[in-house]
Amino acid sequence: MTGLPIDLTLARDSLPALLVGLRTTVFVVALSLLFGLALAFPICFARMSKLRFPALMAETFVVFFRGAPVLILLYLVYYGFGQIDALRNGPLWILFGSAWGCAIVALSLNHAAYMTEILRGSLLAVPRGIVEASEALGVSQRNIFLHVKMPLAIRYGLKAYQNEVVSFIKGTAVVSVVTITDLAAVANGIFEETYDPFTPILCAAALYWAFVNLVRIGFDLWGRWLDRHKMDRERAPVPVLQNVPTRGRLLRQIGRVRGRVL
Amino acid sequence: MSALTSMPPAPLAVPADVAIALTGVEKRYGTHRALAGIDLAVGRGERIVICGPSGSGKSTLIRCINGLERHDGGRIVVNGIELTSEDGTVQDVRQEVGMVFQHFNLFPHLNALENCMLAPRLNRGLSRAQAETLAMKHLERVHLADHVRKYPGRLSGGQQQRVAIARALCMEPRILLFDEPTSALDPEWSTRCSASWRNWRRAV
Repeated sequence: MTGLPIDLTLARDSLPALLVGLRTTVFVVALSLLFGLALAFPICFARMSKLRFPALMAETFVVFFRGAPVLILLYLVYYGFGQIDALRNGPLWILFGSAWGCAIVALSLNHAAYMTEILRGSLLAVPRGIVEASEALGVSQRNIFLHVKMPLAIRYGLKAYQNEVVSFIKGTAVVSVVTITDLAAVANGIFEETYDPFTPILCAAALYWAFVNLVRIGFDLWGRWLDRHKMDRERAPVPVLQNVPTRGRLLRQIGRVRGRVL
Repeated sequence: MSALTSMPPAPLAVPADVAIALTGVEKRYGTHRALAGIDLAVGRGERIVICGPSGSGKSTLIRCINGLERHDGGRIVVNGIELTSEDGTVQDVRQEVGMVFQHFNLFPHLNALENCMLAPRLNRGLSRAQAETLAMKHLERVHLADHVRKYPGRLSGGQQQRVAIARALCMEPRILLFDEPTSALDPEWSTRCSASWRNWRRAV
């Protein structure tokens, strides 16, 4: 015994299986993020529409799918839809007959509902004056959206998007209830075989952690690239201080300067 | 709006030397009449200044001329094009009219050069190189040739304002509108800017 709550041999032996599970999780995440985002745009436009009916429909969608727990949504789609004869015999059964289809549909709808709101908030944050300036230049509404509103909205919404993606990734663990062997399901399987409650779960947690932080680093780099206009490449170089002071000396110096100014 | 559409389509007789003609222009916000029957004729090559206390409708008037606000009554003819409720006419008028805003409203994600290049590239389909030449020409004209790669956040108020002017000039408008262009500047810059406009043989 090593004194650690984890069995290192088991951890090493189960790593290949866990990595396969992680690959499944990555696929579930990627597909749901893709479909969810694609769905969020039209729903967002409807939500922001001046027309009563589309706006109301979109709002209902958001209220429903943001409020519905993914787990229950997944149960409803996977077990509930199978009870409907018309659906079971219809063409859509290809989608709803498979665990993957149900999982992607349920997760995409959930993600789309959140993304609609993030997108809407970001678009509303674009200053009115900047849109007016583009209008005054005679730029068409379509081009204003593509070249002014969206580039700015992405910058405003990036942090919220990152938050949503990170919590979404961890939320995808629910797909194990509909027989998809994602990372959480693999870890659970190992636990059931070995009765070791800690090793597989902690290993899975470490892999989730690594995945989430890779995504976070990706977002950070993207954000830094987008905010390059805030970075100061053009300003004259800051004069290099002669014998850079230690913190204590720096504080004393600031104190002296302040004293002089005051 | 309905007053406009029901108006007889007979073209307003505007002399060729009049750039902007307003007759009986009305604009209401709820019950408040921001513009109450404005008549104005600005000749080609003429430069005029509209003065008045705040809230008197100067900005509203200027914003009606390029269709940022829709007027509720009367007629506006800009460079021979009458502003009607049809979207197309507003776009046509905006190609002729440049505008510089009180707070400049530069695109924060684009540098000075790109700010100037955006509209010519999108509206007139200029290539990157053509748009860049055009933008450089106008940025040099406002003495900003050394700052073209800077983003608006790194420019002083006066520099931002000159970028805004260059950006408007890049569409080569026949008419230039300024909405309180110096109120966001300190007194020194505002005198300098007004002095430089006086040298321009262009506006309106």
